[in-house]
Formats: sequence, structure tokens, C-alpha cells
Amino acid sequence: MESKYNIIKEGRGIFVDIKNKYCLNENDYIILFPDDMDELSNMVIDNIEVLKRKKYVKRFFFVCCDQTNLHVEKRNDTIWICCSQKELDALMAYYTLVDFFSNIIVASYDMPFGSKGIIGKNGISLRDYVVDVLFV
Amino acid sequence: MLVNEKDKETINSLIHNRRKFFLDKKTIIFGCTPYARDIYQALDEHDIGLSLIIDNNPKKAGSGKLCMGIPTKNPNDLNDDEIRNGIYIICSKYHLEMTSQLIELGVNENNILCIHVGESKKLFEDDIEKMESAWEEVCLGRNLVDKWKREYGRDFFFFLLPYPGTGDAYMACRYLPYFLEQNKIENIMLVATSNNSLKVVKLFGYDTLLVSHEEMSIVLRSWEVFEDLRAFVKPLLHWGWRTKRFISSDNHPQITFNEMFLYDTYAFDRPHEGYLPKQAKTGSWVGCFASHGLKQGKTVIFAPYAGSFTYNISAQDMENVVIFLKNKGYDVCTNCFGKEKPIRGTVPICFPYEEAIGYVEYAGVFVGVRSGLCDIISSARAKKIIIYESGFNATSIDYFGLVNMGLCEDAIEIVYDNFDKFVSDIENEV
Repeated sequence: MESKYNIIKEGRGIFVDIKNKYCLNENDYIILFPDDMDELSNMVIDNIEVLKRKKYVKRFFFVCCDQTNLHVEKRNDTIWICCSQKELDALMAYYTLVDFFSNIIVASYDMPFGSKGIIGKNGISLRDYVVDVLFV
Repeated sequence: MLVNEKDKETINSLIHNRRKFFLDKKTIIFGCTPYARDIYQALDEHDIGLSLIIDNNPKKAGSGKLCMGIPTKNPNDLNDDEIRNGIYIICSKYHLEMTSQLIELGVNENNILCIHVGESKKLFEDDIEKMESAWEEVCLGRNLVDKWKREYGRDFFFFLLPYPGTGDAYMACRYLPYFLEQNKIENIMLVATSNNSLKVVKLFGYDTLLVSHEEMSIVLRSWEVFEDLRAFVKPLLHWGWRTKRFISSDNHPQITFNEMFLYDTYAFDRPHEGYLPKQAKTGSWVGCFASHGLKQGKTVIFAPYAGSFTYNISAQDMENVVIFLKNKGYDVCTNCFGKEKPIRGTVPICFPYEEAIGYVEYAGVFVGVRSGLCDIISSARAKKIIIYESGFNATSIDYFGLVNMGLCEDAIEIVYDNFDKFVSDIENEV
């Protein structure tokens, strides 16, 4: 359990660095792309304007460890933060423990909770899932 | 969504501390949510009148709709006086968006009061103390699960029912056998925080364990942090308990409570026929009806209480419906327990869940607000009139409707907007 706690502490350190470096405020949003779910991640990226309008977001911080398969477009309102897998895992571990920032979305079906079971059922598309579940 | 005691205290104390803020102003609540009910009560206790409730959802506000008897509007329909002289109370996790919307409409930022409860968290919660105390809690949660394993056996799987609603327990149990079969799980324990949930679980024949809300909370938290717990612990929830993730029926009416359990909670790849709970054929209803002078087949069982939600249908409205039913030749009884009072002019009866269908079929008619009991009696061969309420999502007919959910095809479902319509709906259906 001690090693888990050390990872969480490391995650907190990473977040605090981001918060201080970019002076995060209520109009900022962090999106974590935790693993290799490229289809979901790209759906999030492709529909980010919906979140922007819905939440009055002025700056996005996209945190990932590998951009290779992601739709990385030049956007004036987006800052990409590329980190190591270990750092991303630490941030995620911290998020599972504490809601350290209220404007955060994890581009994942099951982290920290949930499943992708509803997608494809009764006409629910991946886009619906992104816009109406992740962007709540 | 449930408003807990801590949230109520927060709402009360903020209204108390800011009571002078409301003098000579029109008080307006933004959001037809269960929090609105507690804000309304807190305002009332401080003799502060509530002028209006606004909401962006056309199903909840506008077009003459009332919420708790208060007029409603879409924010875009606010008039100049309301924009200039309104004090706006927001209590929602969407407070940032709602504040921005009001400011865009011309409301002065100083006239907006945000009440931060569990739903509307602070922007940052990154202090070390918060992390340390959260860690202590998840460790306690982990230890508790370890204790369960020691007590019940290493091969046991623990299903958590964090939400106290009986309807949630019903839906969870309805499909649980498929999950057990799919995952080859044999020894299980269903863990719940309310006795009513446990009673429902027992109808399906599963073993139960009652824990406190605090114990449930720390186990859920540790379940998120320690991924290895997922091999033998599973929350049976149709929404992310912390992140509140779920698909809104406002945009997707084809998704109901039923689909959420089938596909989200259990992640099944296809629909399943739901299991029905066991019912005792004791016939105890015969003696009960005889002792109260209630007629077989010509009695209405009125069920005006729901465990998780408070309805706004007034006692007077209920009494008037009872008078109408009696004039039509029905005997009327109220299903009530403990401190719940029968509707005036009715006989109080109570029955265990395992006999609910027997009672309803013997009576002939069931009229009840949407509650977990409605799930249990959904398969009864009787006239079933289920009442939903407009204004709050808590019992949305789209999401919780028995027919929409596929629990039965013969339920008569009506939405309570106002008394006149309510009575005419009942008149048409009985």
C-alpha cells in the first residue's frame, strides 16, 4: 500500500506543477488520455467544441503520453502536455483518490468508474457517450 | 440524486447567514432539482418568499408548469424586472455554466448566490491534508473488505448496493444471475446500506450484509483506488457514484433505468429476460382485508410514499382523490409503515414485499407514486396506476416508467402537474 501512496503523491506533485505553471482557473479544463483507447480519445478531441460551449472553457490541457494516433490539430485554446506513462498513471492514481480539480475529464470508459456497455445499444453512439456521459 | 443531511445543513446555514441579502428582492432558484426543495424549505423557514424557479429543460420549466407550486420559466424568458431585481440561487455541479448564462442574460454577478454542496465541488481539492485523509479512508475501506473476506471466505464475491433505493436493488437483482453465470461466480454477498434494499435482495434469495453509509463510502473509494479489489467487489450502480456519469434520458429517451442496469452496470452484450422475485402465497391478504372491511377486487391500495424521494402532491389532493374513489364505490387503504400516516379517510395497511403482489391482486387496484414498490408489483394482475411527478428528474417517466422499462405493459402511468389534471387523469383511468 505504501508504494501506491507514493505513486499518488507523485501524481499530486505533477498536478500541482501544472496548476502553478499554467495558473489554472475555473475556465480551464484538463482532459486525461490515460491509455491506448484511441477511438474514444479521438472522439473526445473531435467533439471538444461541444465541451467548450457547454462549460464555457477558455483553455484545454490535453494530457497524454503518446500522441501518435491522436488527432493533434493546432488549436489556439489547447495546450498538449506529453508525459511519461508512469507520470500519467500517477496522475490517474491521484484522481482515483481525490477530485483534485473539478474541471477534469478522463477519456476512459471505466476509469474511475463505468463501462462501455451502453455504446451501440438502443442507438447510443460513441459520440453520444462522449458528449452526454463524459462531458456531463 | 439524493440530498443528504450535510447538504441540507449547508443550504440552511447559507440561507440563514445571507438572509438580509434577499430583502426587497425577488428570490429565484435556478434549477428544478431536489436541492430546490431544500432551498425552498430553508427560505420558508426564514420568511423569504420564493418568486420563481428557472430551468433550461423544457420538460421541467416554462409553459405554465409549476414546481412545488411555484411558477417556472426558461431563463431566456426572464423579464427585465427579474433580471434587475432577482436574487438567483444556484445549487448544482453546473454552477459555473449557470452563472455564466445568467451573467450573459444581464444578471449582476453580485445577485447570484451559489451554494456549494456535494454536487458542486470546489474548483481545487489538491491540498496535502485532503490527500492524506482520503488515503486513510481508502485504507480503512480496504481493511474492511479484507475483514469480509476473512469472515465469509476467500472465494466470496461482494456486490455493493450503495444507493438505498429499493428500485435499484430490484433492478440489480433482476439481472444478477446472468452476471454470475457469465463470470462463473458462486459464493456471493450483497452489501447494502438500507434495510429496504436488503428486503428486496432477500426476495431474490441472496445473502445480505448491512453496513453503514460510511462503511459503504470507504469501500467504494478503496474500490476505485485499489484495482485488485475489482476481482471480488463490484458496485451495482447505474451511474458513476463519484463522477455522476450516466446518460441522460433528456437526450436519449430510449435509454431507461432498465437499459442502464443491463448494459452499463452489467455490461451485457444483449438484453436478458429479467428474473422475478419470489412471492409468498400465504393468502394473508384475505384475513387482512376481511378484518378491515375491504372488498376483494374493489379496493384501491394507495401508496403515497416513496423511500428515496419526497413527492409534492399535497395531502389535500390525495384526500380529494380518495373521496372520488369512494364515490365510485371503491374501498381505499393506504400502504404505510412506521411514521407514515394513512391518507385521511383510508384504512392503513402494510404488507411485506414478498406478499405485495398477492395484496395488490386481491385488492384489484393499486394507485401509487413511483417507488421501488412499483417495481415489485409490476407483474401483478391488477389495475396499476403509477404517478410520476413533473419538475424533478428524480422520477422521470421517461427513465423510470414501468412500461418504458419493459417491466410490464399494462401499467397506467400519469404525470402529476397540478391537481385538476391529476384528478381528471385518475377519473379517466379508474
